[in-house]
Amino acid sequence: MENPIDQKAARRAILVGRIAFVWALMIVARLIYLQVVKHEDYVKAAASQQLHTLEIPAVRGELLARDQSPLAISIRTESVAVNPMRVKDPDFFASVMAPALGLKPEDVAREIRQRQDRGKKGSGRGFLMIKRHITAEERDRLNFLRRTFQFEILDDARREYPNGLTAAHVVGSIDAEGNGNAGLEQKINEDLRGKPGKMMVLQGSRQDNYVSWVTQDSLQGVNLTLSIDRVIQHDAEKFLEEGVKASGAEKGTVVVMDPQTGEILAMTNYPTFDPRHETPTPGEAAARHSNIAVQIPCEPGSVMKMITVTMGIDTGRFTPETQIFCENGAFPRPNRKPIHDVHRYGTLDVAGVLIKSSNIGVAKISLASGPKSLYEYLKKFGIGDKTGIELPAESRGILRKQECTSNADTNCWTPTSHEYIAFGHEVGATAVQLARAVSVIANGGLLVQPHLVIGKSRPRPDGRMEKIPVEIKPPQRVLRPETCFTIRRIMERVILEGTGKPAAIPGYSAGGKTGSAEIFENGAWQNRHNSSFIGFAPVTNPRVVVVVTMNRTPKLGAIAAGPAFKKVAETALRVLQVPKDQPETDVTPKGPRMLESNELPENRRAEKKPEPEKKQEEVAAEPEASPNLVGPRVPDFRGKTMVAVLRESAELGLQVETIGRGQARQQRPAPGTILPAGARIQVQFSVTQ
Amino acid sequence: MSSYRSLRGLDWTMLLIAIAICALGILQIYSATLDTAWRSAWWKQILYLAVGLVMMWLMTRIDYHTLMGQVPLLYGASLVLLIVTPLVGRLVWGSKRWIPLGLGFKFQTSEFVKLVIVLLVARYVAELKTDRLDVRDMLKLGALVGLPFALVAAQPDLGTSLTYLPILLIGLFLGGIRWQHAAAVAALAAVLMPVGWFFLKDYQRARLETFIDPMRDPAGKGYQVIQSKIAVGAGGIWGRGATRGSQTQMRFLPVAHTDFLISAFAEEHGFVGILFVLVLYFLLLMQIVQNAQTAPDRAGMLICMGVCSLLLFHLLVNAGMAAGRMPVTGIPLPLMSYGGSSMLSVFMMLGLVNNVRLRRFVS
Repeated sequence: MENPIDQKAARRAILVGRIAFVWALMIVARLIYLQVVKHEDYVKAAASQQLHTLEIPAVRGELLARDQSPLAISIRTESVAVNPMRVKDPDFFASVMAPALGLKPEDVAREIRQRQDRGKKGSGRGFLMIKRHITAEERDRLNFLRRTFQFEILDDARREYPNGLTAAHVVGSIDAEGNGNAGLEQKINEDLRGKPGKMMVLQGSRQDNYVSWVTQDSLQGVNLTLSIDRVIQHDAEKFLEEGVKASGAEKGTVVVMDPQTGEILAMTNYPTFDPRHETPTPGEAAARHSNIAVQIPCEPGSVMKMITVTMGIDTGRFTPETQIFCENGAFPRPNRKPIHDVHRYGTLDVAGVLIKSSNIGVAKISLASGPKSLYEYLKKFGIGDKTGIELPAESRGILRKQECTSNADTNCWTPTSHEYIAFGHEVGATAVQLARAVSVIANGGLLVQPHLVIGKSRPRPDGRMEKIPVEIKPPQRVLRPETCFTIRRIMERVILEGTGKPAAIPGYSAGGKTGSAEIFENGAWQNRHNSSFIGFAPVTNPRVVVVVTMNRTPKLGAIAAGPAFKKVAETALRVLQVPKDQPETDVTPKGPRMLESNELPENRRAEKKPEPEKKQEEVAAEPEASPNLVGPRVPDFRGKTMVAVLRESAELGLQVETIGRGQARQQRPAPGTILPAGARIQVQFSVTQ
Repeated sequence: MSSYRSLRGLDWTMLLIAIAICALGILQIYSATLDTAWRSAWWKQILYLAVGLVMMWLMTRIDYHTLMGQVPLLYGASLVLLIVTPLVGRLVWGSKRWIPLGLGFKFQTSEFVKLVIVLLVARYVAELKTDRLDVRDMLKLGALVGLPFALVAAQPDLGTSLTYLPILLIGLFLGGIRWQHAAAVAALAAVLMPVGWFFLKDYQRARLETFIDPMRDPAGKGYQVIQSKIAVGAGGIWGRGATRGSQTQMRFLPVAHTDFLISAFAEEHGFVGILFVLVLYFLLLMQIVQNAQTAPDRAGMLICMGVCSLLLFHLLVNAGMAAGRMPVTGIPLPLMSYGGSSMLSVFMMLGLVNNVRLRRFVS
């Protein structure tokens, strides 16, 4: 290595080494910059592409009937959507995707093209829902297509109403976004919906998840147990429809309430709607948003006389026996038209005024008590105040202030208002308000809060159910019990001997009051009425209050609303297992004879006594007519899904006890046999836990 | 005089450093291929290391002078193989570089041609009679290296073909290229670069473009560079721990067991780890340079320096690429990146260095 050639080479080798060293230093400097100086930034950059926030969807709460059978439940589904702007060949896309989803290729291709055209004009959305709620098979097929096409499978949920139309107005419905747009679904939407949680996911470059952790638990939707009894509700719907058709009415409503607690056992309106229809017909859409029972007040008419008479007796100014001269049908008023009665009555006692429904009689009671007192009693009965029931758009009814603020004030009582309000004019109330008012009499003087929700619970993340207390306003005492007992006795006679005869319930004592207010529209009387019947049963210790209103019927009072009242109350008493307190006879007397009679109850009972035995003989002769053997035939549920079983049984008004889940395997009683009244059908499903 | 050929005569310092680097590489390959289709790569790499050591020992058996005597034959064989490779090779990642050997093993011809070029340049320069290189010699040597360069570049594998250039350049430089000529070559290269642009494939142009501006196409062509920078930067001073680098483990870092292994290492072991590796490489290269200094003749010195320049080039380009300082070329990190051909050729080159060392005492 001593020759000059090598020395030169060695010098040059050192030079190469130095250049390399500088190069290496540059790389080290760069590493210091990346790893020390900018370290934090790159950690953030790494996290931003690796960490994703996912939403944990909250399942919408369930609505359950009193017996825990589902009225509305949510089922998790998946839906398919595509960004139409990213579909290169709509025809090819549609020709493969559409058959996999059971759709028509032409339709899908057309939809995509339309969106693409709109997109080119700058107004399109990069989102097209191809199909909602896909089945498991469709999902499997899509998994194959995932490599070929770009589309999204989204978490979705479908709202099922296993009982179909049952309690549609109470339950309500939801819109495509999953928010309630009617009924409880709307009013309690926030609670039902819950709140989605958040989850952090470490996601690899190939969208595979590595680690995930929950940063915020989702708040599941609240499950609500309703006071609605499925059987009473079902019958109320059936009998209301029958009643509306029989009376030639346009609309109608029925409310069944427990007078002691204010729990609504049934509430229905006609026309009704099917909450399962996401896109309803115009008629259905209108029905969906008109829950007559809480939203539409109407003049109660003679029903209001119950309150006027109660006032008279409770204030002590009158007793049931106080005689009132009823002016032989026309009560002349100064500078006004006289007040008329339908029939010409001479002198009636206070009980008779209510039983015969004399306008003149109650007007005189009101005149004697004064407007202040009447207003006070209306308020005691909750007229003009919202009941606070858990349904949207509740009306407070119509009740103007009694005292005027000035002479120009038109929204208050005129000096003569109390004469007319006494028999239910110039005032309006909803069916729920009337039910609450009747309950005051039925429960012995307490103003209760009508309500639907009797149980609230929320599934917690750990799987346990968290009970949420239900807040109900405690009943307020507004009347002395003695007054109520008196009024109940009088109202019983309304059915036995007065205007309410068509409402009589076989086997039960009942009290009630008819009402019919003629509709005045476009400056003329329409010869159409809002006819109603309000009542309770049994008379001692009433268990149900039923309010029936038929809107725009040509028939009056109990003729229009009585039959529905009778049938609904009958069902309710049977379901509630209220013992019969009357001989089971057809107490509905032959019309003309009873209308003329002025018999005392004692006489009537003495006269009727032989009849029960006769009836019982008939029963013995015709076993088919026995209440134990009369009933619907048991359908064949075997092989059906739970939803189908519940739906069918609801439509037939049958009670079903389900065991397990999956497909129905066995049932008891066997299909085709007659179901004894009140009995349940046991259905055993394929999968049992 | 038998001792110089015994195992004891090998450069054990160099060897241990090389094996240490390999060990770190195998650990990193293991970490980067956890739960992937490449999960068996780490033990295959151990196998390659073992074969490499045997090959290295074999390379010391034949006197390097004898090897240099066979350069025309080796050179001819190399050209034939390079011509045959695209004909029998399968298209992998857009180029035909490998000759399939069966059992899933394949042979990357261009890696072994490096050895021939080292010997070729050493022989050519060593046979010069002066310390001056005239233009005729430059052109001749340039043409001899240029032919395999062109064949490999046409595969296309510009990265590997570029690694032939440092061998040529160090040969020219140590052979006594005049400064004027060196300046002329540099100027010519500067002029030819824009012309060369037109010969580049689209993906090669894209690589250069994204090297200049990675954010031009962050999800596409700039993806590798950006992800590598994030991985290196996220590693910090101490690293995220073996098998804990999120960029590596979650497959954001592309080819983390081969070309971007150094980025994965930087993420999991941090600046301290990478500095340690660089120091190991530095010591390895210094050991090779020391062997060059003690070489018995000019040819031996040139062989060692050729090997040294080649490894240095690999190291600096690969590390520079990971740090975003060099364009993305498929140049692996010698001894660390996964790959049998690369491993064998590096150990055979270390064998050449040992060959020179074993014959340092001229008898």
